[in-house]
Amino acid sequence: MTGGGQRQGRTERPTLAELQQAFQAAVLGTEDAVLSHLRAGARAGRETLFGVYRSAYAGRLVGVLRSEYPHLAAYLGDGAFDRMARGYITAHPSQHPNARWVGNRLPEYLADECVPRAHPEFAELAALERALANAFDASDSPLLTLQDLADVPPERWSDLAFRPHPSAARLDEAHNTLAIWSALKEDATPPPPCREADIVHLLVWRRDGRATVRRLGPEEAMLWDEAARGVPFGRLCELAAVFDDPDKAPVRVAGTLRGWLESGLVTKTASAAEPATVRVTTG
Amino acid sequence: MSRFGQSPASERPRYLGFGLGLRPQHYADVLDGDPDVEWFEVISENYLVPGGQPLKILERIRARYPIVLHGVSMSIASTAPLDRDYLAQLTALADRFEPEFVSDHLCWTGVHGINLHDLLPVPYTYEALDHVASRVARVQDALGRPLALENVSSYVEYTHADMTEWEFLAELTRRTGCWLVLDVNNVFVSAFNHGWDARTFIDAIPRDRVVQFHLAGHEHATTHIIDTHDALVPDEVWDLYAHAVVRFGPVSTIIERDDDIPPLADMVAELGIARRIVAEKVPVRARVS
Repeated sequence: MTGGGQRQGRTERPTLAELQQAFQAAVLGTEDAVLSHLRAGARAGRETLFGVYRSAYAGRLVGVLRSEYPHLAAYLGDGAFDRMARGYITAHPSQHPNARWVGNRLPEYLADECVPRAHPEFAELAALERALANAFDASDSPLLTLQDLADVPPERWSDLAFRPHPSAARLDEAHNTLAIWSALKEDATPPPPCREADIVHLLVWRRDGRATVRRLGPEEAMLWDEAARGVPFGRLCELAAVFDDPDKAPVRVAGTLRGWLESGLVTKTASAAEPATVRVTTG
Repeated sequence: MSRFGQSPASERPRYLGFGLGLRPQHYADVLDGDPDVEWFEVISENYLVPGGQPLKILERIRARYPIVLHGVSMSIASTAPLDRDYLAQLTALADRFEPEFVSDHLCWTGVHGINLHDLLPVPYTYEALDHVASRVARVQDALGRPLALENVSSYVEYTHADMTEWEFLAELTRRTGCWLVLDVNNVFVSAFNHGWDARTFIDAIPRDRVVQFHLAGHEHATTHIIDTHDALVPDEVWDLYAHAVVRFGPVSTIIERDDDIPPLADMVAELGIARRIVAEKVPVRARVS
């Protein structure tokens, strides 16, 4: 070893902590003090060599964001996406050990912080892509099936409550974002952005291993939101009765529930009560 | 006392033969075919997710192949506190998939709550050696299994180093009993960038501590080399691999590709070069281990 076992010039050199702080600050672009502690390379100066870390940092994270938000990237175009992504990385340096979550605050950044102000459909498109990415690797959970419900005695239906699959997420969007996303997904020209007359209700979840999205009508969106809060079947029927034709409300709710079960949207929950697969509320 | 920290005699991971870094682009070909690959190195972070297809696919692959979990986020040399949540997740992943061993890099990735998602160079000082050695011991205890650390490619060296990178690695493995992943491409890249001799590095690493070789390609920028992992393994790296094979004998080997990923069949064909080199350089008797 070259140090003879003793630190030499200890007081004149930075501690490991000081060095790492200075190195990080230089990578983030706020100062260059660390350069005085670096050697020149065999053929390149230390500024050039340190620049590899600096450019790799932004390049890598922009690349991560591009892979997490591929349709937003296509919609904005390379240059605009790159500028936006660099602004986001500066505003929100990664705090997670896994780069998978580097872009988790991008929709909010686009909605509230981005300068110049982003078009409103950018944030909605980002929110949709984030929901799809989160659905893709959300927790696994056994699914409630129609057969599970077939075993429930009629007198207990009113109290049945349903738990959404962990991959399920609801979005409300004010613009034609779903149409834009659908066109980008097909590598087609997206329609011009416009504000919709009514809020567009979306449901994102993982079906057969694939993240998927579909539009919900106003009543189904209401039923889903209430069911997700633990509102039981009987109360859902009452709410549907206020929403539309009261005589057909139980049939509509049952049909909607059937669709959720067939789509893999409801989790089979353990319960001490019979049937073991259904959570029964008491109130 | 640490179960692993002061126990250089922890059992050496077995020889796995020739493998590849598992990439999602190859899932279908791996599962539907029977590629001539003996094992896979798996990027731990790709599977540190709540659920979904990645974990299901890894279960199917693990049922057919040995794996090594290779992480990029341990930040073993950082002065920030060890990330206990990360270690707990990594331990759970290892308990579920039972890798041959767990590896990461001799580097740091950030301080003060920020992660730069890069493998940043360590100053090879006694202070850093003490710091890293104590953290290796704690990580091995947390994981409940031995850790292997990989040399990184670097573009800068610090002015106040007390020792060389190879001296640091050799002393670290002596002190902690950790194993080493020798990235032959990284040795080549760093040697070019800093102007030292790659063979001197390899010849200074203890023969009995290297449990895996990494091979990869890079980008030559005339005055320096950037470790891009997006190209074929170049001849110079194959030459260095041949030198390492002579020194270390049969060591589990993979090719890593992180960008411009070719079809699986092409990577299997490239792996054939490694097989031929070992066949030429290592006596048959030594290969049966």
